[in-house]
Amino acid sequence: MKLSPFFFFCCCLCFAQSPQTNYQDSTFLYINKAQIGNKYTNAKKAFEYSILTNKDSLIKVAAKLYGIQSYFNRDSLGLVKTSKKLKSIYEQKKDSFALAQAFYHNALRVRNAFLIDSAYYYYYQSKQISIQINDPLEAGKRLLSMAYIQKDQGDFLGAQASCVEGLKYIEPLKRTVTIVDFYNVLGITYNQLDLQTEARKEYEKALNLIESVSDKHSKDNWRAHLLNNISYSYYQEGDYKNALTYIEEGLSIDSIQYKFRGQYETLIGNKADCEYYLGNKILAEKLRNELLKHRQESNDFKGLAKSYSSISYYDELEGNLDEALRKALLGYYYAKKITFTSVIISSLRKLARLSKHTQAKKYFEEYVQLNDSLKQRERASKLQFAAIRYETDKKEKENQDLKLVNSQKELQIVETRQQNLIVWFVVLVLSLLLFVSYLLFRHRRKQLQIQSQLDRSKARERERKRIAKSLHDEVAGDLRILHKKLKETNQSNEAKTIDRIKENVRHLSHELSSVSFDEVSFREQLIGLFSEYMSSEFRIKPKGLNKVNIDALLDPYKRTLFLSIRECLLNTIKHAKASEFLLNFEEENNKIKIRISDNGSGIQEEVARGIGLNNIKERIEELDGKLIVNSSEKGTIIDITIPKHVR
Amino acid sequence: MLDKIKVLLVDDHQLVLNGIIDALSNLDYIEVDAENNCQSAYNRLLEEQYDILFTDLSFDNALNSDLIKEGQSLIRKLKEINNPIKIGVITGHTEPNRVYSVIKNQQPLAYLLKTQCTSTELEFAIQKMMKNERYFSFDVQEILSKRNAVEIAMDDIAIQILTQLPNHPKISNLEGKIKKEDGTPIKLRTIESKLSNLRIDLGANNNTDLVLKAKNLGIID
Repeated sequence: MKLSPFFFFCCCLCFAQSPQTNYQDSTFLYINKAQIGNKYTNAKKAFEYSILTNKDSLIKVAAKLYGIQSYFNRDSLGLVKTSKKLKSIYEQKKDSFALAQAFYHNALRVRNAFLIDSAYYYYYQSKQISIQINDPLEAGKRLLSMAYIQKDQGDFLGAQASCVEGLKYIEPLKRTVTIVDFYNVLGITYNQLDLQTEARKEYEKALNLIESVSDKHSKDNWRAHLLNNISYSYYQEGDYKNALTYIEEGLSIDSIQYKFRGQYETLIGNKADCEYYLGNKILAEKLRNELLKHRQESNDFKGLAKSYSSISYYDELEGNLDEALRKALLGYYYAKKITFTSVIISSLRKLARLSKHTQAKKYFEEYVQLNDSLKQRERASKLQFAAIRYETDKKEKENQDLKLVNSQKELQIVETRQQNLIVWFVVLVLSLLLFVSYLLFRHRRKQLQIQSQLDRSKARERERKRIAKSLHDEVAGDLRILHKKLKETNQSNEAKTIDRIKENVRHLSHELSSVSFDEVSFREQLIGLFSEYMSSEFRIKPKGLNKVNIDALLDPYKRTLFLSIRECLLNTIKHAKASEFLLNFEEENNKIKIRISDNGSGIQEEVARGIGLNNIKERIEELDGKLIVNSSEKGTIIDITIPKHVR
Repeated sequence: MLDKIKVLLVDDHQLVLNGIIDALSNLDYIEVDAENNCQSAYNRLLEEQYDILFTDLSFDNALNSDLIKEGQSLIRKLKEINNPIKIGVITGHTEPNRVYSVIKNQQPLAYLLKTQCTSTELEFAIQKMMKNERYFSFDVQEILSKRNAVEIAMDDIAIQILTQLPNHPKISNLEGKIKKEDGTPIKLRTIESKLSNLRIDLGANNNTDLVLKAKNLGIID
C-alpha cells in the first residue's frame, strides 16, 4: 500500500516533464498556424506560450511575429508586452539583439499613437544597436521606416540621407524588395523637391530591379505603385501624354482592380486629371464619378476625402461654385475624420475661397492656424530628427571617449601596479642576495677559523707522535737493554735506577703518543685511560657517555676533550687524594658539556695555575669552549663546555 | 722424525732478534728464521710455509716502495690471503689503547711484552699457539681485565645487580628490584644471562667470587 503514493509521484514526475515540452510544442504549433492564417490571434498565442517555455530564442521569434501583428492590428498593448519582454531579456542576458527589437517594437507602438517623433527616436535607437551588433538587415529596415517618417514630415533631405545609409546596409544583402522600397522613397523625395528627372531615375531603377522578383503579387503591387509615381512625376511636369502612357501600363496589370484596389484608384484618379488637362473633360468627369462610386462602395474615408476634394477643385474650375463648395465641405469632413492633414489644409483653402464672408473668415483662420502649425511642426520635426541624431551621436561619441579614457586609465593603473610589483620584487631579491651573501661570508669566516684550529691541532699531534715514537724507539729500547745488561752483571742499584728512568720514559711516551680515533673509538680510549687507574681505592664512574654522540665531533676536538679529561684525572690522582672520580656527559644547545668531580681535598691554587690545567684550558678556549674550575676542601668540580662542530 | 716447528721472527731491532734467537736456540724442535722488515717478511711467507709468526708492531725501516710498512698491516694482509700461519705479537707497547686496538682488530693468538718475555714464556706461548690457544702476557691480561672492569662500571644495570647480589642469595628474589633507567623492571632471564657474562668477563667461578672480584677491582664499594 505504501507503493501507491510512490507511483503517483512518479506519474506526476512524468507529467511534470511534459509541460515544458508541451509549451514548446504549442509555441511552434501557433507560429506555424500564424504563417497560414489568423495571423494576429495565432501570433498572440504563440507569444504567450513562448514565455512559458523560458527559452529566449523562442521568445524572440514569437515576440517579433506578435509585435508586427499587433502593429498592423493597432494593438499597442501587445507591443507594450513584447517590448517589455524583450527589454527584460536584454537586461538578464545582455542580448543586444533583444534590445534592438525592444526599441523597434516601441517605435511601432508609438507610431500607432501617431507620436512620430518618439517613433523616429525608437527607430533610431534600434538602428544604432543593430549596427553595433552587426545586423545590417534590421538596421536597413529601421532606416527605411525612418525615411518614411521623414518623408511624411517633409524632411526630404533627411529622408534621402536615411535612404542612402539604408541602401549601404541592404544592397549587399540583395534584398530586392527592400532596395526597391528605398529607391521609391528616394524618388518621392525628389518628386517633392520638384526634381522630376532625378525622381524618375530612381523609379526606373526600382522598376528594373522589381523584374527580378519571383513573387508575382509583390512584383505587380510594386509595379503599379512605381508606375503611378512615374506618371505623377510626368503629370507635375505637365507632360500629360507620357503620364497617360505609364498610367495605361499600370492599368494593364493583371486584375489590378481587385488585387491592388488602392493603386487602381490612384491610377484612375491620375488618369482623370490627365484627361482633363488634355482636353477630354467629359472622359475626365466620367472617370472621377466612377472613382467616387468605387470609393463610396468601400467606404474608404481617405479615398473619399481625396475624391471630393479633387472633384470640388474641378467644379470650381468649371465655375460650379455651389457644387464646388458642397464637395469641398464633404472632402473637409472626411479628411478631418481621419486627420488627413494635407487634404484638410487644401480643403480649408478652398472653403475659405468659396464660402460666404463670415464662414470664409473662419475657414481662413483655421487654415492659417493649421498651415502654420503644420509648417512649424515640419520645421520642428526636421530639427528634432537632426537633434535626435546629433544628441545620440554626441552621447555615443562621449561614451566612446569615456571608454577610451577609462581603458587608458586602467592600463595605466595596471602598468603602475606592475611597475610597483617589479620594484618590490627587485628590492626583495636584492635584500635576499645581500642577506645570503652576508650569511655565506660569516660561514666562510667560521670555516676558516675552524680550519686553522684543526691545522694547529694536527701539527701538535704530529709533533707529539714524533716525540713519542722517538722516546719509545730510541730511548726506551736502549734503556731496556741497558737494564738487562746491568741486571746480568749484578749492578742492582744501578739497575733499579735505570728501571725507574725507564718507567718514567715509558709513561712520558705513553702520554705523548695517541692512537687515532679511527682505530680505537673515543669511548674505548676513555675506557683504556680509566682502566689504568681504577682500583678499589679509586673508583671511576663515568655517566652519560652512551647518550652523547661524541663520535660526531671532529678529531682534534675529540683529542682535546680526551686530553682534558686525562689531565683532570691525573691532577686528581696526584694532588686531591680522592677515592671517587665522577664524570657526567651531557649534550645541550649544540654543545657538549662534561662535569668532572671528585671527593678529594681540592686543588690548590698553584696547581690550578699550573702548566697542565692551564694548557688544556688554553686548548679548550681555542676551540671556543669553556673550562671552569670550582675547588674546595670537599672536592673539585671542573666544567668543560665545547661547541659541537660536526664533521 | 717430527717436523720442526718453523718460526719466523720479524723485528727491526737486530738486538731484539738476536735475543729471541738466543732464547730459542736450545729447543731443537723449533727452527727459527728472522726478517728485518715487514715487506720482505711478507714476500718470504708467500713462498715459504711457516707455522708461527712473531712480529713487532712498529717499524721504522720501511721503504717508500713497501706496501706493508708495519706489524699490524702485515697481520691484516696475511689474514686477507687466508694464510694459515699462527700469529703472535712481541712488542714493547704496553699502552692500553694500543694493546686493546691490536687485540681487537688483528686478533693475534699471542701477545707478548718484550719487557717481561723470558725464554720459558716464549716456549710456553709457542706450545699454546700450536694448540690454537690464546696466550697473553700477564700484564696484557691485567690490562684487558681492567678494561672489562671499567666497562662493567659503566653499565648501570650490572652495578645494580652486583650491589644487590649480596643481599639476595636467591637470584629469583632479584626480579623487580633491578630497574632500567626509565623505571621498567628487568626480567629474571635477562638478570641471569647478565650474571653469566659478568662471571666470564671477570673470570669468576661463582657469584660470591664475582662480587669479591668486583670489589677488588673497584667496580662496587
